[in-house]
Amino acid sequence: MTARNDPDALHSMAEAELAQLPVALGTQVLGEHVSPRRAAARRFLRYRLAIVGVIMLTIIILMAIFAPLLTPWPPNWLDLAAGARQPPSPEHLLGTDVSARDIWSRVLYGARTSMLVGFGAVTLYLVIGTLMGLAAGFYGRFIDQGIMRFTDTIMAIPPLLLIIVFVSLVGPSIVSVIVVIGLLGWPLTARLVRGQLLVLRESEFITASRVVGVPDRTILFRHMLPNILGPLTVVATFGVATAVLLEASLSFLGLGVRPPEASWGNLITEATSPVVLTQLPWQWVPAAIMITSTVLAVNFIGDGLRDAIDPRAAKDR
Amino acid sequence: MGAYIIRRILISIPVLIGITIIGFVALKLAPGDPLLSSVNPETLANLLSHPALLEAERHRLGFDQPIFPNQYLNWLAGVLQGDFGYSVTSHRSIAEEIGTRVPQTLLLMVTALTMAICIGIPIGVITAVRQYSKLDYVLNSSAIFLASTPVFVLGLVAIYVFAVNLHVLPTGQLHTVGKSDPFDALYHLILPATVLAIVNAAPLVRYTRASMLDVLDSEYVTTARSKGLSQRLVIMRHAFRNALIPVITIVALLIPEAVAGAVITEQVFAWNGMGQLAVKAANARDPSLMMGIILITGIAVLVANIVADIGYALADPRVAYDRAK
Repeated sequence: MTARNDPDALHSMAEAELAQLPVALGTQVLGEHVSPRRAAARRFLRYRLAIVGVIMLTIIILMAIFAPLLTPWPPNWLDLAAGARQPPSPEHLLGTDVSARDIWSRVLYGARTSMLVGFGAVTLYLVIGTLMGLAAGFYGRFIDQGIMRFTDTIMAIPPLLLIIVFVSLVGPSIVSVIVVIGLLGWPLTARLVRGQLLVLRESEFITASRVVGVPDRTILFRHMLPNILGPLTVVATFGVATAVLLEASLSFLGLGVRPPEASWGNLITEATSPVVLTQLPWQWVPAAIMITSTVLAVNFIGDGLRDAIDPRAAKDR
Repeated sequence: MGAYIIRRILISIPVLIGITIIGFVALKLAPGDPLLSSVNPETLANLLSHPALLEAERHRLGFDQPIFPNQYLNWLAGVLQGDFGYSVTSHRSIAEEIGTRVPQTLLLMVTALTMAICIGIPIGVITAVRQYSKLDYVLNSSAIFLASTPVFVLGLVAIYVFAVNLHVLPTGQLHTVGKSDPFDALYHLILPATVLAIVNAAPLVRYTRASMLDVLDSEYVTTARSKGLSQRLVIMRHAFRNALIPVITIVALLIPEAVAGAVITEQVFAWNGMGQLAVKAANARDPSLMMGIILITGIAVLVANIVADIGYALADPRVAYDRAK
């Protein structure tokens, strides 16, 4: 994607009063001027699956926030009166687990874990990745070389393995999962930001800003950063899906969020016992459905955003 | 071409050194006495009964020296000679622990990736050629759905359906106890390899489809069509070969993900490979073992990337690699 066909780039160029470009991507409807951002929003809304994704994700986020209101049972409460491994009943909507805890309530609180890890880890690595990418792309030379070789190194190691190693070193918990994914996840973002910056650096409005003597910091954060927000949003969205999957996988392996804390991944660990897998499906199927729905919802949103931001990609659908 | 391969290998060396530094830092961050995971267990037992000898050994191994660069270089020298240290839990050498498991993991991964390529690329081409058809819709949404499903869920569902309900395939393990013929091994390979293949094929379908659509839209394909070439010829000779070029890169990029998938698949199917070893090492906090695994997989990924780059050069004659940049 070049600066020229990126609607956001165009938008900023207009702001800089430098936009004399022959093609105005924002004006899709003849005779009516539509701002590039609004045009992107329209393209997003046209992608029905993206809307489905937004609705699904909203429901999951609401479940996470209002978990205590949606279930009478605390997630770690042992309802010994009802007994362990009970089938679904009006009292316990999805039955109880090995330790007589309410599964519906654990699924709800598992949503909290997933959302915290998904958004927490991605926020952390977006910040690191953006700063690193800005530094590499803007200053170039040895800073660029150093940062890029470091990202090469991290990306040569399978992410799950690296995360397993570091999580096990600091001890598995929700915080260490967030921090480790956050600290190891930034290389891709850094590369994207750097790549975009290399294109932007050569563009006329940046040269113009330089000529009038705008300081580096203002160029970076006022003129360059807003232009790459589009692609960054897309990376962040897909990043949330990856983080949710990673957390679930780690917790499934017993190396992420550990019981008694609830996580969809550790709910499914139970299914490694043949009895649970075959006789007590309500113990693990709901968590499996939740993980898939969350990741699916986020991927739909990501697809919609990508097409909205880069109209060229939309034809691939 | 030869010069290109050599240059490409040389570029990988700093990355490899980087991996060893990450490994070393993790080793040093690990709690516990580093001596336990660097000495031959027999010597260790002997040493533990003689505190004076223990100190001497500590000195000999350089644990009283500065961590960087002295200790790092010592460790690196050891690794270069194949001395990865010893497992704290099994008391065997890391080389031995990993060496016995590499074949199983390679078998699983190579089978799964080959299957993924054989399934994913053709489906990607079909969905692109039949864009917006019902077939495209069904295949493409299944790919999105499968790409969003965690490997372990897919694995458990596969076990539930094929092993428990239909009784046609085993639930896991490398062999049936007491049997060791190749057919039995193959029989045990089917389920884990298929699950891992499906997970890797899903993104491949989507990339191939996008790449193929891109090419089908290009002018030389229109030219080929207007010459009156058959649909088959246009697709296979003109479009597919060019669409394949970016897909080669994607296959290489999928390898680290495939390793992650293999770790979980091995766990679900009790497949005694490196993935299971990694989880065991992490649970037992066995630092040398974990680092050995990271180093080996890191090298494997780098080699795979080099192979992919060479494949890229072979597939795309426009890429002039021998011209110095």
